[in-house]
Amino acid sequence: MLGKNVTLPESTFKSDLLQLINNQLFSDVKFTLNGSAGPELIYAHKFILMYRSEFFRAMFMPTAALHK
Amino acid sequence: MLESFVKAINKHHGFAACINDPSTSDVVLLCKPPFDTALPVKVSLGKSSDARVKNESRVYVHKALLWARCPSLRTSLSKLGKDPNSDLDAIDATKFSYTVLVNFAHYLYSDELRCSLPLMDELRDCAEHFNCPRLGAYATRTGH
Repeated sequence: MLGKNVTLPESTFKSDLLQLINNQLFSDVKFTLNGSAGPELIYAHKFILMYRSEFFRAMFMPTAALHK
Repeated sequence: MLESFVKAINKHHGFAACINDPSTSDVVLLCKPPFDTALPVKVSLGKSSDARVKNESRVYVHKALLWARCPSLRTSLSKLGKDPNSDLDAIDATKFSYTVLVNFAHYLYSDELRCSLPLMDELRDCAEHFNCPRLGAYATRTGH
């Protein structure tokens, strides 16, 4: 019964993942935006884009998208 | 926009579907061998057997997720070894079994616990080893 009284520390999942947005570390793809102040780069991660978007899945792994 | 991004992640159990996908993985967690190979093992299979040997010696994961979710793994990411069976970088986690490391990865990728009760003690040890106090507390609470 002791375990039931254990306090669960607050989740950091959201803030942990937000660190990955536009983070160059381990990034393997970048978006180039043509802004008025010149080109701007946004760093991203292919596996996240692929698992969250059919569009990017088809772009990075055309065969997998076909089988899905 | 960020809020909707996070809501979408939660709805789909985080990124747990990305675990063990060698096509997108850039690092492996090397596991404890699945059985003691020092002992001679004889396996007899019937002609119609469809038994398959699963590769349970490594868990395919992603450096970015490990870096974001586990501070102690950040140190490991700066001194990586090589997976002897592939070109990927490797983190030595051979203290822990494949099943526990998959569940550890599942927690990192989704913030959810899906481990069965008999594994809770080993998962708690794993959480302590990788300095994940929330997972340790989660396992303690669930395991009692």
